[in-house]
Amino acid sequence: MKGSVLMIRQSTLAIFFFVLACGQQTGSEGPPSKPPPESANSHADDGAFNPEAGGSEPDNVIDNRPMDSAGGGLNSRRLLARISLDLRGRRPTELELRHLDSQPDALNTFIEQALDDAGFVDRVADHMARIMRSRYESYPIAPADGGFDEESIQRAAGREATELVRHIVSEKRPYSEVLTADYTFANEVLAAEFPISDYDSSVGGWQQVRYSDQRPPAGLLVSNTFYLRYLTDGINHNRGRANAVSRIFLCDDYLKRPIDFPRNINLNDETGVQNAVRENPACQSCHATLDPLASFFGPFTLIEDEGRRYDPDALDAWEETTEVPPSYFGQDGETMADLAGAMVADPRFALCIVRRTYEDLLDRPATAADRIALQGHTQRFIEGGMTFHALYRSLVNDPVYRGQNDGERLALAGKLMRPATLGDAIFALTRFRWQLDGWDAMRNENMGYRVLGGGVSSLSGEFPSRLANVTRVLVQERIAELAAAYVGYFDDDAHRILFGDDGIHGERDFTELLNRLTTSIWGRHSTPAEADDYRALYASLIADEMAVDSAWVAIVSLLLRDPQFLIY
Amino acid sequence: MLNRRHFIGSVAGAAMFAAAPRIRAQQLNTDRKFIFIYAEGGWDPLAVFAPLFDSQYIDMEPGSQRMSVGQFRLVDHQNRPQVRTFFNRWHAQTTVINGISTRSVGHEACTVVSLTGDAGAVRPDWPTLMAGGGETRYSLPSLVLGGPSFPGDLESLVGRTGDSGQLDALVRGEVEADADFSRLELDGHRVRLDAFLKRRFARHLNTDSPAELMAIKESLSSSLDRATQLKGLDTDLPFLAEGLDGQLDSAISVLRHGLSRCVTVTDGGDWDSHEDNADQAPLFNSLFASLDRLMNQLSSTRGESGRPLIDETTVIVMSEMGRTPMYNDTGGRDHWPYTSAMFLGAGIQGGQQFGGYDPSFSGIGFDGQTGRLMPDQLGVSSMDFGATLLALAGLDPGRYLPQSRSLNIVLAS
Repeated sequence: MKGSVLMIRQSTLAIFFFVLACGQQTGSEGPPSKPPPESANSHADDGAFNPEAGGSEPDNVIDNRPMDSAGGGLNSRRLLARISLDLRGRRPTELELRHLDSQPDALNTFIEQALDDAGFVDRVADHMARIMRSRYESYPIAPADGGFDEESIQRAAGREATELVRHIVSEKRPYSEVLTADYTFANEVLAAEFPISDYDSSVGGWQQVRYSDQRPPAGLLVSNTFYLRYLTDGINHNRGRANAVSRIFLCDDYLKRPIDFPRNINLNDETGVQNAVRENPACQSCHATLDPLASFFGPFTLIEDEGRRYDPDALDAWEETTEVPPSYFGQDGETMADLAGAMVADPRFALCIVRRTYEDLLDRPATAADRIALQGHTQRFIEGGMTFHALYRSLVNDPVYRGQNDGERLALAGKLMRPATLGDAIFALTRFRWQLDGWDAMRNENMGYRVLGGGVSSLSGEFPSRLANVTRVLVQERIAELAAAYVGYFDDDAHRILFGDDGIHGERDFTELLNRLTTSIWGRHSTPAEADDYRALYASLIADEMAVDSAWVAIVSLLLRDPQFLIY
Repeated sequence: MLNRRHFIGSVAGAAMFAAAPRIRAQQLNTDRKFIFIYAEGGWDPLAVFAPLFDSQYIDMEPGSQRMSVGQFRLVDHQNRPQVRTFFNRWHAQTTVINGISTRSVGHEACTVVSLTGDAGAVRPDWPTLMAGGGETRYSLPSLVLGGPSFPGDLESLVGRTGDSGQLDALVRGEVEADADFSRLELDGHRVRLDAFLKRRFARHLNTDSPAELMAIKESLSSSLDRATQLKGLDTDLPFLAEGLDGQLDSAISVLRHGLSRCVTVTDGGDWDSHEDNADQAPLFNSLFASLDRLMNQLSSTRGESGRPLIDETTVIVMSEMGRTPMYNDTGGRDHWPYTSAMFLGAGIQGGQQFGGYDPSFSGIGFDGQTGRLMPDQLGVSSMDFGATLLALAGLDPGRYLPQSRSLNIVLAS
């Protein structure tokens, strides 16, 4: 091998590369659990926000307040819809809207109820799955003879992380437990594939379990599927995994730091590379902290090959790999529990999840103008025990979220439903979920409709687009048509809930039925002009010999494609 | 509960197209078109573009040798004869840029840098910007048949086909679901429903909204227009494509029918040759065979203007990074922050090679006006590369990339 102090050997520079990022992984978990859709006449739980107990306005009320905020705050119905969709994944019912009209102070109670809704757990799980890029279907777990099939394995592997998150959310545990939990979650598939001994197969399903191979308590940092999602090799030496941890939990992605590689750097020679990593400022800017972080991961290096077991004898593997002892930004450690403890004590840990969630709810990247607001939310998050409840409670009270300008921060005037929210909101109205082979098309990656519908690929993980494009509009059209047909023709219970006991088969007053639909789907009655438009359309469809129920299916599909529904 | 999988409206496409008013796909247009071919994983410039046989710091591939074609100084090897064939045929229509700096050795960061000029950029990528600078009538201004895409705030200009032709299914209303939808009686009425929705969108656009909200509404409205155009096309939709040749066939069809200004494809090969760099040979051989085929097709296919597509189409062939100059322990090459790219076809100064590599395989920049190598300049800036593309597309690079300079020597005078 040629060598020179001027040149560099590749293996060291490979420090950064992610083997996984080069592959073709895709995946998703199945549809989340959901309560049945609420009737337009149903009511929320007992308590201060009890629509049936409150006063109501006449049935024919039309909310004529403008749809758009000009920075002065959303009207109460739109605010309720925004909060309801972001926290529960469904629009408020008519009774909830009316109740808030008559008792504006009940909004805080509504928020608390929404935070306790099963839909909130789904929302946070979706959010964290995007951050962790865990929804894909190429985990390198080969089916064993007589064991579970490939699809069952991929379904299960994609859920280990999100099941832990769901537990933390539903039990109101602190967010730090994602890194400190001494347990994980497994179903019968993962229990068979991973070294887990306390799974109760007589109960089945997803259970809280523990790994049985002496791995330290460090939540997701010691979960097998993290290591199968982010692979490494004999050149990378866990640096990719270290960067994944930094990106996910500290919002610090080493790979986003562009470098101007100097000419006098040796990347061709192992010694030269080690020297460059330690001494060259261009390399050191990353490797001074990344390599000690990677040194923690030694016991997991061969997890793919060694029965997916933790190797407690490999704590000193760094001596042969990165050649720097494990430490967290100068704080010495040895095990993953040490790393987890240091990370959750790092102020960036809380700030990162606050920032990511703030960006998610405001549908835009945070900027310098958001610094003070982020500090406030972080403080309330910490004071609230670092629960997701405290975090979302603080964020939905942010004036910008509520449509008010706040200094340099411009109001969130509106946002377009992302695929998962669109799927959930439509499910709540129609009981239709777009599924293929049991996968939720609005969450699954391999089917492709999530990304085409405006979602994020689990490979790139970029921030989802806030705008529409051709494919997003077509996905909206297809799911709207399918849902309208489903509720119009096939599901009698859902039909009764959406259209009323008389359904769409008998004689109905057009405006009355239209308003019933727009109230459920848009949150308000139609205006006279809108009613005229829809009546004209209906008449033209009937004139073309379309059946009455099909004409209403067409109208429902249009209501679901309308900006009044899609933008919130 | 209904659970039988059923293809939605299996005759929906036919019924829809029968009912839809025809939109003429072909309209006179002289807008320059672009095909981006992305080799994902990082190709090895030392296998084709950089004959650095005299450097003691570089492992050239055993059996490789120098090759001169016109003014090109290249690398030849018997296991990739299609490279030689391609340059022999098309060197006059080809420009190579060597020494492009992508400022990282991570795939993601390099991909973003190569397509936007900056790892932290929020600006749209080159194909999206270039599509936005063209005429406004395209149904899919920037079509992504494969490969990376970073549309930024111009998302409404970009359409993806999906890995298995999902766009085709969406347009035809033939998507799959578990439930039985044997009765879906909207076929034949979708044009009317779209028109109704378009009027609804127009009303929303007439309201006084904050700019951010207006942008969402406009994207919905313009995207609906484009979707409606697609549904009404009097041609088979060319979105179900497999392999590089299949994607390039689709790209030609899309350009010929005036559906898009930019089309992005990927060869689907795994160029990330850490284990064994010999894996790059069949990939290069296959890629150049496809490029040869593409150039022949562009030459023999007439575009909207009636001229051969090759007169109005520029092909950009690129990869996010290069490979290290020396082999690793397994005979592979790892990641390297300098790479090469090619321009083919219209609008460029063909038969030229710009930029270069020093004996350590670091990139060397060049004067964008004269083409003279500038040994003190560390590589060709990806930003300048992008500025050149924008200029090629008729855009003012200074508006989008104020710190950049277009490499005008690359452009046809």
